[in-house]
Amino acid sequence: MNLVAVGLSHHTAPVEVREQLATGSAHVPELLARLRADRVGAEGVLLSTCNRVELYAVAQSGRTADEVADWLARSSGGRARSLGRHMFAYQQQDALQHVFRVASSLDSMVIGEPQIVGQLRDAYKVATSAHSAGPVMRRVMDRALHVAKRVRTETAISREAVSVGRAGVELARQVLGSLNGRSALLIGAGAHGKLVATSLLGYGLSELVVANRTFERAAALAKRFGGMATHLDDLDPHLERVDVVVASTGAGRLLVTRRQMARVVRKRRYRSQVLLDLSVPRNIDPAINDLDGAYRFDVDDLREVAAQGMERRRAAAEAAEAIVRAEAQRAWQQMRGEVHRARLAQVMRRAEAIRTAEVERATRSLGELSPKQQQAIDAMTRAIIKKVLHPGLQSSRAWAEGGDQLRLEAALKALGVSTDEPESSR
Amino acid sequence: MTRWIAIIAGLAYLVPLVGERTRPDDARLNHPAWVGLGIALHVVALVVDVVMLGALPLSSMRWGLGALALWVVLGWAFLRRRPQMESLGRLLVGLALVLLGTAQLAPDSGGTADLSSPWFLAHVALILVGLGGLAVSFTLSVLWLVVRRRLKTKRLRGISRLPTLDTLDRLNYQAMALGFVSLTAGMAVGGMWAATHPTASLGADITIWGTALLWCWYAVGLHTRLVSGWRGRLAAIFGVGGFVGLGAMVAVAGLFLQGWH
Repeated sequence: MNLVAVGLSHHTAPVEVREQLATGSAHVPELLARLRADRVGAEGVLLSTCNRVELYAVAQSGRTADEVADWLARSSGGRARSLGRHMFAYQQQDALQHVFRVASSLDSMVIGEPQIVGQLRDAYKVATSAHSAGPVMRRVMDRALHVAKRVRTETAISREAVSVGRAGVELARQVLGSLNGRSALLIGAGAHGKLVATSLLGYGLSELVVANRTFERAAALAKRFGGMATHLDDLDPHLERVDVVVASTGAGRLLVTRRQMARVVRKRRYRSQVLLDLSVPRNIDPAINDLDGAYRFDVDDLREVAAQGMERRRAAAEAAEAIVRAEAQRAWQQMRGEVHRARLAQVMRRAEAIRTAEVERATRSLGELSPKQQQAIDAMTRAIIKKVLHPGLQSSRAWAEGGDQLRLEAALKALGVSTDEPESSR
Repeated sequence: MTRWIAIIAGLAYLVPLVGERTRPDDARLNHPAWVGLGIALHVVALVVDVVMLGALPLSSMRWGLGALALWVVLGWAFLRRRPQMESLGRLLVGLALVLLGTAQLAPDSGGTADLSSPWFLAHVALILVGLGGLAVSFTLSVLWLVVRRRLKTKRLRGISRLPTLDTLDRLNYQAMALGFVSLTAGMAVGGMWAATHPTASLGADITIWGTALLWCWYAVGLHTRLVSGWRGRLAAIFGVGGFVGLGAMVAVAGLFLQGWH
């Protein structure tokens, strides 16, 4: 088994280099077919996203990871020489560990981001439908997705907010608990406001009211979010009703005042309300934070939460790396064991074929034999084969477990087994 | 002897509590077995008291506070591994340790329960459940005020590890309602028992009048929430104020007078 992981990512190449190697999903099956046709690899999965273009493959015996990387650079239309210094190439257990790191989002630009798992799953689907994911790649990908799930559930790597949008959601949830069935008022159409509103809707918000200086713009935005529009001078009834207020305008003045909110919180009987002011200059009076039931945060607070989230994700990444290392080691040993067992089975099949042929020839020259005599010859020849092969098989098992690839290959060759991957063929 | 067993139980509770703070990665310090050991010793201490006395020492303040502490510890054991609930669990075990410590300081005064009277047994059991609910309500109220203060003062570091205000408020309401209903039922059953018991003279008993006052306090607290819809800070103030009053009453009755009654 010759597992390789080659390609380039945001760690190794700037975007102008990454785009040279980027492969649209429509061209991936063609590229994977060429991988086999060029006798570079028996199986492969190609992951092409905006941050990485990576090929995970079972390379043909004797092919190095660098050779596969060169092939990828040439086949993708990139100039191999210029791409070469940006490309990474991992082989065997290192390759497996790299796939696990990518799946677990430890190699992502934003550590812990969840999109990579979906992208990897899509790449796997494409490879499967292109008949390019054989037993080894299936094993690698299934295991990688399992490790990703383990990392997500056992560490805090994806729990913390690291974007302004998600930080707004986290602060709202810290006050209100679940956002399911809650309502929000979005004042203005600023970029941050839209970001937070999108995140809030993603967490089960049931109603969104959009208020803007220009009613038509509010209506257009409300339509996009599936909410309703209102005029900027008609905020009070909505303030009394909604649980979250997000302000993001360029008005340059206070749109929600303390006096106004003092009335509102009384009418709400001091039920909790979160006010996120993402505008600079601010739109929501900071003094509102003194009122009971009103929790006001500005863009600096959201950035602080996001920065802390990033810090905690980094801390969680250490635990995640340990999981990935342990899983890669275990999976590699299992896979190597399976390959070795398949090869031993091949040895035994070959020996059995020789034995059967020889017994038949001997039987023909001996003439009619009784069943008892036939059984005795079978038992004897089987015992001879077992005893002759035993020391060789024992040694090869020890070399396989110890990772002594050179001796193992020599021993298997001596036993008449092809060192190509018999189990990788479909 | 049971005092020492209870003290060792308290120390067993302290091990993972300190471990979580000082060495969160130390598997031995944070092993759940410590909680299990503490609970087992705690139960043993309570059972040995019963065996030595030959009857349920329900009206002994020491035994009663010890049993109350066990209720609170069970709440902690339930919450300690839940996301965002570790801080609440820590507060609960802190409260349990205070109750357990106070129990060891309290005198052994107070009679044993008349096991032939189901009214008396029901009275004490209901009161203990009620006090447990109010103790939990107090803890939740304190934590609600802490989380609110951190949000208001923008001390947001690690805020996501604390329970949400809404969760705390909801749990506080449930704990207070459970405590109030049990307390009410316990008081009613106790009244019926006293009416049929020839030796009961409870007219000048501080715990009865104190409990009646507390009942009114919690009744007002629950009423404002149910009828007027007030929640949050007001509910937390009721939770804290009520339990502080209860503590004061227990301290006066237990340490300076003759026990519960």
